[in-house]
Amino acid sequence: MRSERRSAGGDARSLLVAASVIVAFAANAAGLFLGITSILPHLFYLPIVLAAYWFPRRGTAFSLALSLGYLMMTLPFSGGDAGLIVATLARIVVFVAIGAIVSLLSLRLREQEQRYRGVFDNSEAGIFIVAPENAAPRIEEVNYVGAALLGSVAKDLIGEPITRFLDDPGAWRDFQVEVRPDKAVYGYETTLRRLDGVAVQVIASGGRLPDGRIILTLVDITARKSAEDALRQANTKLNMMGRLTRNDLMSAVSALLRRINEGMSEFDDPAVRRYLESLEEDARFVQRRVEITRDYQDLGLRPPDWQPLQKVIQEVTSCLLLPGISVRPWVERLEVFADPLLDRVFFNLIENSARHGKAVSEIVITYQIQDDGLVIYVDDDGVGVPEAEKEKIFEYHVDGGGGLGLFFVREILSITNMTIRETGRPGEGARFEIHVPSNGYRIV
Amino acid sequence: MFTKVLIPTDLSLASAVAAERIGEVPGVREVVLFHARVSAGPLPTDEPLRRMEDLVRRQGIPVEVVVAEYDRTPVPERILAAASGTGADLIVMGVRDQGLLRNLFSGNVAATVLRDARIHVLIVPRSGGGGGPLFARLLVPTDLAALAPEVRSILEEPAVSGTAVLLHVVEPAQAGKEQEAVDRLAALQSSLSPVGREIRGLVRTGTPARTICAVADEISASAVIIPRIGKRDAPGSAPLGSVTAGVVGCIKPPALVLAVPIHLRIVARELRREEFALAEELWIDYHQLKADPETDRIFGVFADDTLVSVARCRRHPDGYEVDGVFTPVRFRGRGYARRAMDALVEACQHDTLYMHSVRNLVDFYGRTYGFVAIPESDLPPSIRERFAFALGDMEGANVQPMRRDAGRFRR
Repeated sequence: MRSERRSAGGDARSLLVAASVIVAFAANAAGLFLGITSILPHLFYLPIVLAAYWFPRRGTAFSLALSLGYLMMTLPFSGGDAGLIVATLARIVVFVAIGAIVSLLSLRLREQEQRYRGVFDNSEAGIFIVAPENAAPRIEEVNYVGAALLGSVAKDLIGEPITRFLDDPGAWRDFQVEVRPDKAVYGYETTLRRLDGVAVQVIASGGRLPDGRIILTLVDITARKSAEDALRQANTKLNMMGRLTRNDLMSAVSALLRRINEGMSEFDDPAVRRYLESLEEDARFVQRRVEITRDYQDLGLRPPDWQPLQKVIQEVTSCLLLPGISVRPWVERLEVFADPLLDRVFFNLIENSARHGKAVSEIVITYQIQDDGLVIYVDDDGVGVPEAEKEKIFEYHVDGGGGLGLFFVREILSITNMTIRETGRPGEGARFEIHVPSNGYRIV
Repeated sequence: MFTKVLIPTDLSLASAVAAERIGEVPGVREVVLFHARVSAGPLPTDEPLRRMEDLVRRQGIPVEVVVAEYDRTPVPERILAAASGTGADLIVMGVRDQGLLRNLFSGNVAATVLRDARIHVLIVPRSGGGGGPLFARLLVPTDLAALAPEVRSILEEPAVSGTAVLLHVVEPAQAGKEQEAVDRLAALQSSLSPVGREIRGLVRTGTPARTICAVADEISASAVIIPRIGKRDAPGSAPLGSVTAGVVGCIKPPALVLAVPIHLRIVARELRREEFALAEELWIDYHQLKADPETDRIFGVFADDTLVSVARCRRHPDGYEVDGVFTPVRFRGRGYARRAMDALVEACQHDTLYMHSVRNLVDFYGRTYGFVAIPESDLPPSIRERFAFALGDMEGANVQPMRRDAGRFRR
């Protein structure tokens, strides 16, 4: 339909050009008969500009042909008047130049239009141009993907109110308010309702054109959302399984401990008692491990989010008993993208300093912006960590030596690509360095 | 509260008023009548002193007369020494003209004693006040902070009759907050349990001191009770709060200036983006620095909720610069700037820091934080440019470029 319309438009344009050519020639011919040679040639501008603008590829040739025609017509009247011939030739030069320049500009314009048309038509996102009429903002243009997103085709959507496809009628108002003339909106999540009633979750961005129209770009995120939901559900199930298993394990260990105790009161043989004691020790170890896994059962369960570090640390220190230790966090405006268990990270690091640092009087938490991200430092003034232990403290020890705290610290951080290492000088204090990737921190 | 009272006298009629009305102060058990001689030789006459002694005794209060011989030290100093020597809780001074207190630095004895005293001071002018007992109609200005225990105990002192007006003045800049003030004043009032005294609240808008004096006239207050220092001036080092100083300058009835202890919570911390305006407010008196949240970390010291000192660490493309270390004059001398700098250096210890230090602080920055003086050419270009106006003449600008290498800062 579009090509038909275009050719119809083309015919009208050709006719108009032809008419203006005839008028110009007729007027000039009449003028020549009457001896008027000055004003009337200006009439030729009309067909030249129109033709060059509408048919830029042929604009220069057209103006040349027209000029020649004009020359031919003038010559018989010149009667050897060199002045008239020179004036005519000068006009011809101007005609051709105007024809060429307008053609060139028109071609450029067309190329640009085609480029943006290409962007519009071939975008992977649905793009809508919406006229913001007060009562019903109507779709003026929509690309293929946009129409497909609403389960329709472009021609059926033009003129439709956009609000018809919104689940929440207030959403458009919100969106419009946010798209102020000077501001664009990104990452606005909402739900659309297709004509067949299917809900589509989209992430929308928008901007306002100078004439008040709104360009709306929609990306379908339904699949991603469902995958996220599925993952979350799977996670919850796994978690529940974990919880059940842990409960079973706990009661089994309790039963075991009870029986060992019974054994202790029943047997007097020192060898048997020693054996029972070592059994009890093993059982207690299993019990401790199970308790630790309970602490971290929520690991990765809720999605990571931006967290204000100063607040996280202040909350942690307020629930730790740290006699004689001054904890000074200097991370007021820093937010990091981390698992919600981030507080356990600092809980462990601070508690670790207090417990193993010996004579620790201060723990200072600072940060430094680096080329490849940001480093958070947790420094204490205790005895530090011996060179040989620096990596071991983060390992999972099957034999049970030491706690699992730092192992989990590393795990929690790694969920959002943060890394941790210990870099302090033994004897001068411990220093934990947490590396945060560039997209994982922001200063608010 | 006012068990032992010191009444200094220059033997004038005006100073005798103090002796005359001392009985109206509740709870006085003992009076010391003190006269500091201003010349050597025998006392020309001790008649005025005897008369005052008699006045006090007739009110049933034991009195001791102390005459200090001339020793060249200024009289106010000797009065204050006598007060602390006798363990007095209150100094009561009769004055001829309250207007003398308008300038606390005039050298006037009463003004100087009032300014430098560390205990309660009662000023009784010869005339003024609505008549009747001293504590009959009290005017008690308040900044809406919790009432000092001293003020509270006066208001709750059992009285046969009497009134008190709790007055809060909303400053013109805060106009519009009157309703909030009314509510808070009502809460304050309901926290009091007076015995026999009728208390009402009053909120006005205007300049605090002048409004307080006007209200005192309006209700013909018998006395005004006001703490030496309010929360506004507490973080500073002024001996007397600005409102109190203004009030004693214009008030007509007697004024009881209470020495209430001030407990300030001093906290050094980094400013949040929305608090940058507070720093700029402070910097109005310091080259009118402007803060940029994208490049600046500002460390501030808060005394209760007032920002009293700031220091800035600014990130340039080629280095970190420390500047804007500033404490307004009225908050100086309490180590606030030191605390702000401690915070900054501790927080930014991992980066090399540059600064332009004024010459007299070069030693301090070196000793305390490990800054070393460097030639101007060692500064990163963008930091050097900031001082381009000095045209390389750092000596002339009275500043010294310094650098602190990245490294652990220990307080």
